[in-house]
Amino acid sequence: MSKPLINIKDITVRFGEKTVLDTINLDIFPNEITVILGESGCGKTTLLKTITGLIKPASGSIHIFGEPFDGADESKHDRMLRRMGVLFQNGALLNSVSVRDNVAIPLEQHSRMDPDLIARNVAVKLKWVGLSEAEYLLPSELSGGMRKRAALARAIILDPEILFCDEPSAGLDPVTSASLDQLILTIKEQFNMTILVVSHELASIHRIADKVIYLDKRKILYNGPLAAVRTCGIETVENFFRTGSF
Amino acid sequence: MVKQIARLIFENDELRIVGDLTHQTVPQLEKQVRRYKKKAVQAVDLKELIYTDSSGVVFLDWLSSDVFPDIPFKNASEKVQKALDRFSSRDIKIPLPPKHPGFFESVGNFALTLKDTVTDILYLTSEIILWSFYGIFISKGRRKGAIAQQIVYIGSNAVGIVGLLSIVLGLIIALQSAAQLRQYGAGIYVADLIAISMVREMGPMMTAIIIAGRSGSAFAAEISTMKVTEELDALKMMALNPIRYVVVPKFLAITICMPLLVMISIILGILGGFIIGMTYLDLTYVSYFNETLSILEVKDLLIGLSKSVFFAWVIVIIASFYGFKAEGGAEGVGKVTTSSVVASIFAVIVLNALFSLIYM
Ligand SMILES: Nc1ncnc2c1ncn2[C@@H]1O[C@H](COP(=O)(O)OP(=O)(O)OP(=O)(O)O)[C@@H](O)[C@H]1O
Ligand SMILES: [Mg+2]
Repeated sequence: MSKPLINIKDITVRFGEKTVLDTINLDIFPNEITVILGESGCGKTTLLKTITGLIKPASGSIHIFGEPFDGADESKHDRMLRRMGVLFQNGALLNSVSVRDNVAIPLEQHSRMDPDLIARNVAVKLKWVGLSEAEYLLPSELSGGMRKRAALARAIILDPEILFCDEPSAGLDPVTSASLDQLILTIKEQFNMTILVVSHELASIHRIADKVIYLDKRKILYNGPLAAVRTCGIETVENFFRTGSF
Repeated sequence: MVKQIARLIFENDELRIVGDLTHQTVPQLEKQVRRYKKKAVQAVDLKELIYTDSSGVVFLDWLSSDVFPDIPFKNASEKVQKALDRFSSRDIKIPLPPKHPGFFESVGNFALTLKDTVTDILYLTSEIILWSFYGIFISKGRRKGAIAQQIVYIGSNAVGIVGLLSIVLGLIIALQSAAQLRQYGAGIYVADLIAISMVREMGPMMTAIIIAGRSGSAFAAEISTMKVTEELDALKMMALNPIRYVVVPKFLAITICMPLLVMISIILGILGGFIIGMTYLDLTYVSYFNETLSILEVKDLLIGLSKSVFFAWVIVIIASFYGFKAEGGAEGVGKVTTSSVVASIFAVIVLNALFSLIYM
């Protein structure tokens, strides 16, 4: 088995008195798509934000690319960040600039590429997510699903080694959702990406997941391959997969 | 795996791309390529190209379409060829940015917006006034305790700053004029000066400017946030009138608070003048107050207070006009808040000038 790309050890996260994640241990392996699922409010977004360093855990350690992520000095930390892309649950587009500029920001800031090439790259990414028509619209002029897709384009503009997606298909129709899944599979295969996705959509999970992590009551209830999840013997998890399918 | 190395080699009329093409390495290659542009490049050899990310694909597309058109690109590995096929930018048209309107179009737009603005403000004003007075008799659709809460925000919480600034203003005006008046032995007239200017001009106007900055901005921010987060739409769909539910409590509260704040401002302004009179001009407090009371008429006070009520209304109306107009998320909230404060301070000063002309 290859070495884990992300290693999470004994992570505990608290908001005030409330413990949201309790001594979580988790390994994410390269070139795999791991789907995190669990009830609304169980801490999936919190887990993602803790891994990406946006939330400081009360205890525990996180290693990414084999190096400590939380303790890295600033320039090293920045270099690691450039190898990761994040799609936030509500898109988190910059409100004051157009879709085009939103997607171009990472390239403009982190690469000295010619503006013409940047424009081409942005156009390609926007075509992938089906937003070619929306290049010059402001985020406030987009629908919820369009915002999501623009944010995905921004997250993958640098072809990151690790991609974090918080509910990429929430609020999308099944056809668009399926095409985004196809895109995720394609970039994963082409650029050897490691992808961590939060998702509730069973159809989507079946299309993309290699591994599944089920969060429940502050703990990881199930962590294993998708193929085995229906017969894992854990009532809650089996129930989740049974309820959603028809 | 951090991929950083890429080179161009020109040999036997062929250009070889060696290494990895990534958004890190593409910029250097791009500069080098321009040097080979004029040379007789017969083919581009991709045999030693190990990896390309999407920036690399875009770079190769640019090479084959703009720099070396009609030149074969050969020996791409399976993986590179796959990337080229999958992520090709060759038949993607980059849309042009939308055109900015020309001069005449802008002028026309401006005129139309102005017309809309005026009608909107008139509608808004009439609706606010209607619901403020008519609404008193209907208890439905009103938010309980809202007016009291607003009085605390607008009035009580502003007493400190209004009082402090008024006393300082009184001190400054008195001090500036005392030196001149004393030369003529007319020091006692400082009392007249302070009384008239605080009651008729400074008290109402300064209080209005403070309230415009303090509460007007808060109104605009609150209403515009409700607008961009669809809270106003939600209210409408619950059969509640947003103006009545959100604006009217503020309107009534400010109507009550403003004259009271102006009274505080006047009293403390006069106190400021009094301090200078006692210390710098050696006046007795009896003579100072007699002089103050003899110069002031009830009419002056009524003018000052009625002005302040108008200012208050203008502040609420402008803040809600901008608030309801907001669009475009947090950015929009910031914009309309700024515009609202600038516009209401401007309006207060212009209105004050008009009042001065009318009641000369
Ligand atoms: N900033 C915060 N302060 C306090 N509590 C928080 C904060 N952020 C999240 N929580 C709490 O942590 C818990 C987990 O929240 P989280 O956003 O991670 O849920 P989630 O699993 O992503 O849910 P969903 O599927 O609805 O997005 C929730 O109970 C929430 O109330
Ligand atoms: Mg979430």
